[in-house]
Amino acid sequence: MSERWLAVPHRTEEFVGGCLPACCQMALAFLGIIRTQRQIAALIGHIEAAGTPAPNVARLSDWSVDVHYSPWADLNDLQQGLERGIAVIAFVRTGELPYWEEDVPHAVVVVGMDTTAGIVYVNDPAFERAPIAVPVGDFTLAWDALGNQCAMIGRSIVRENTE
Amino acid sequence: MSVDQRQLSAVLEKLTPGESQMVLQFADFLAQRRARIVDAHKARRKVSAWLVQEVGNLLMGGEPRYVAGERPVWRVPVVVSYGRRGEAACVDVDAQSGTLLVNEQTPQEIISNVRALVGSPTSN
Repeated sequence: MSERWLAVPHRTEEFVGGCLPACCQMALAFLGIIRTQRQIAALIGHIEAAGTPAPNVARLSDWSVDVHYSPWADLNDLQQGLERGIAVIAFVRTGELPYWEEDVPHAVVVVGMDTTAGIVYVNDPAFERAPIAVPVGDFTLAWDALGNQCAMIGRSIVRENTE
Repeated sequence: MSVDQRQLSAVLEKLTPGESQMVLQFADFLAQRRARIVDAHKARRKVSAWLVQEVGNLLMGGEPRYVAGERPVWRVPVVVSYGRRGEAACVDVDAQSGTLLVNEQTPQEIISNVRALVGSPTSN
């Protein structure tokens, strides 16, 4: 692979519509912070069948991580995030993802990119297997359908200094 | 009546009823096209992005319906996909400017509708 690869531990969603808490759990676990999906759902204000406004992911900073929510980003931003060792949660529409049979709003963790092969690798909390390779064109369509929103979760400078 | 209007009127008078009808239909087509600067795809994307950002990440815009009128809009249903499936509300997008026609209360109203939908024993 020609690009940075992050060893983000995979987690599946533990309740219906729990994709975002599961993605947050993966990103936190990557940084060595262990929380349950229910704890995360409570913190970000998850509502059954509606979810939570995407910027609420920034509340994870209560647990000493740096969170940057972006209302619009592009593939370069994702690539730069990966190169800096930052887990990226992307909001996508599954109807554009070839491995999905349903068309629903969803969240995945971007864990790698191969720009030569044109592949984005995601940890999808709706599936046991991970990572899943997605052609960059399909990923772009899926991400664009919900406005190219993402949340980047990295190690807090304060936390690093105290470890 | 302006010179242009007089000339147009003179041309229309020379046409057969069928030809006049065709010209009028074409003029209507041009007017409708002008009114829809924002297409259905853009309207749906705009609503979906707003829902994820302001209301909840499990909500998405459905298939838009064009509503003609003084201020033509794309009416985009708010689709609930998890738990029970259905439409919780509609969000309008100005078909000319692309402006979302929402206010500060709209997110809470949608959440209330989602709760009512998933709590309703008759919805599916």
